[in-house]
Amino acid sequence: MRIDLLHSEHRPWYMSLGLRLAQWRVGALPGPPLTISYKMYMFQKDFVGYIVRGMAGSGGWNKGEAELFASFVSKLNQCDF
Amino acid sequence: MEAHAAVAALHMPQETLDAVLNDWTTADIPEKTRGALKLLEIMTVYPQDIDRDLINELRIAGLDNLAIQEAANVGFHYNLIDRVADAFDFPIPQGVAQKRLARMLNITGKLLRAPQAEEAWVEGQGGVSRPPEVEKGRSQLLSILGATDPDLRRSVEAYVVAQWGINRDVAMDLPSELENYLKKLSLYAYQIVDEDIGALKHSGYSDGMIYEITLVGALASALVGLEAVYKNLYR
Repeated sequence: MRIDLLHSEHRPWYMSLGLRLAQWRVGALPGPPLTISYKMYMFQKDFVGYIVRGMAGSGGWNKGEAELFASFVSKLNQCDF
Repeated sequence: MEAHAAVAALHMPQETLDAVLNDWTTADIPEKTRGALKLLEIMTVYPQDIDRDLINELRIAGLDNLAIQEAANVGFHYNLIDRVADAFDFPIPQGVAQKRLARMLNITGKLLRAPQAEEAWVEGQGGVSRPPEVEKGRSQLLSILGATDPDLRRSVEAYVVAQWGINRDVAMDLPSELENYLKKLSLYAYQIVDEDIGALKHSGYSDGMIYEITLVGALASALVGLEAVYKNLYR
């Protein structure tokens, strides 16, 4: 990581706990929740709900299709994430 | 394989996934899915080409307004998070760790209670159409008290959308080191290297400032395609 996203005075305790659990299970800190929770107060809650909705599969798309779309866009962006 | 391809592979045959990622135009998939992939490619690579003809083409392929809107949601999300991932150099788990992450993402996606999608849009500043939730999120990110001045954040947004040929009425000049970074973030974020972030730090930008500038820049870039979809879908 190029900036220190791990240490944040704004991160709620439940996000810290979730990140630690993910790190224990996967062996790495997951980037998106680490980033959002760094300054969580900057993210409007309906906006977060909007993003969660898309990734769960909505508008007639299922979870697998949403993940396919995510993967496709990442490939177009030449991003390994 | 990246993590989301690994999650997609939990839901479809690997050969279908590979065929789509190799060449979506020839993959053996429903025409509705192919339509969504076309939309996502245009949103990501040449968003200025989104027009009513494309929307009509998608409708003929079987996508209704909600299907177009929610495919665009995923496109917007990943055009945002990919830039942030490249800028901050997110760790990319491989092998067993990646399989574990894929299962975790899959389960998390099922557990999170997401609001129901509805056909809705609002007209934001400058007559731009956006989903109501995105308009709220953008407004908060640009205006809330942070490590950077809100005027700087608005200028970052204006600079980024200008890279895509869109002019916003914001007159603040940005320092050259910031312009160099934002140009990469907008157009080829995968080329961002340690030295780019190092140059910002050397110029006095704190981690908190780089965080906010990156978020606003990535959001602005991702919004270009989403706004074009909403303009042609609902207006």
